[in-house]
Amino acid sequence: MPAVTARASRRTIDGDFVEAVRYLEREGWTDGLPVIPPTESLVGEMLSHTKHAPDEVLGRMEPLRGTVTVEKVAANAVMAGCEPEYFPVVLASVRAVLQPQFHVGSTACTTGGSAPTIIVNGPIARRLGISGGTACFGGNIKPNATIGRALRLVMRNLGGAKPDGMEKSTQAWPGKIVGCCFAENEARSPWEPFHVSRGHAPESSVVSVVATRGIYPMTEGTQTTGEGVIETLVAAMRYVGTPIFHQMRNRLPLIVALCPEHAQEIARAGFGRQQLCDLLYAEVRLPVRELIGRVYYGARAWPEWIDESDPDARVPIVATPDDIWIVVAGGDGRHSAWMPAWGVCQGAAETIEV
Amino acid sequence: MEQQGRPAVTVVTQAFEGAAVARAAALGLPDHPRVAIAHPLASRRGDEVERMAVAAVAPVVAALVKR
Repeated sequence: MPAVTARASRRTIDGDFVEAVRYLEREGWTDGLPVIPPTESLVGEMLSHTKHAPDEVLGRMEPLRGTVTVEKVAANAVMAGCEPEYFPVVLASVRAVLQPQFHVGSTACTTGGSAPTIIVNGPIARRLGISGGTACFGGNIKPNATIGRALRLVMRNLGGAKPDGMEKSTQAWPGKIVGCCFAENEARSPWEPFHVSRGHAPESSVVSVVATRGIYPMTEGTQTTGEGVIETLVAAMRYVGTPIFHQMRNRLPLIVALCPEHAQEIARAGFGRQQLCDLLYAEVRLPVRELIGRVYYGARAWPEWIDESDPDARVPIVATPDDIWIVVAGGDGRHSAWMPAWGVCQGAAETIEV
Repeated sequence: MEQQGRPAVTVVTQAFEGAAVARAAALGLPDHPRVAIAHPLASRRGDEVERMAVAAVAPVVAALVKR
């Protein structure tokens, strides 16, 4: 095998900006959308926002085990359209997916079509303008779109999961292009920030990343009480057709992204975040009779206490209440969402170094 | 397994053959043998899977012995 070098190669391209973009497309280094050519000066600007050396090796990106260096991450961040000050968030996101329990290789290749969802908490979200408000999942806000896209380009270009080879998604979802990067709407949350509930200091900034199969919407526009909202959320997540009920023992996280109105009504009804996790764990269950012989039954990973001989035994959506990640996200309106983790991805968090 | 000195062969459905080749190369095992079987597998009845398994024995053995 060729020797592994920690420095990215340099190439000279004749022609103008468009020629350079076309060259990058021909090399297979884009996601189908135009990119910013990663010139030495643009990559240098990106690198000026980290204390880490360009040739520092962060790990190998599965499935094809490309060497991930700080400089190569910076080049992909330039290509994605990131401003240099976004770079610490991109680096933290890359470190998160390189954690072993994220299982980045299998989540990048699976027929299930998962892509990373990045939740940003802490002061950096406000400073960079990472949105947790109106249309925050929609990708039409620059830091949300480009940070998510930078992580996807790193996974694609260094990990090698591309549609002509290792990428085997049956359908995938648009998160395969721009990921799904958003901030928690801490200003409109009735609870402490998500990262604080997970043991991080309030003044720290943190990314929490999970490979998810998509965004499952939950609309409740008629009920006027928190209890009524919860009933609709529970009914929406009792969903046959997602493998999470069969894979729950893998400790897959379930993101429940509540819109501010729903979150505030639930809090007014007396629920803290932990109580809501406990209630969802107890109620978001499907009976064994609805899961036998369906979806991923043959590969089910259920704890021993589930009695399969009882058709009415209830299988929870996750293994423990701690696997439910409740965040507040979105603007005005009455639309929340859930995002189940895929397959074997247990999610990962990283502190953003600023 | 092969890196631990134990001869191995990968059985893969045809839809994943290209991915198996790429992954083997990434692991430094470009000549790692594989046997491709029909796709899809997951939706077949038990007796069909058994027939496919029986049919795969000879090529699996051949791939191991050839080495």
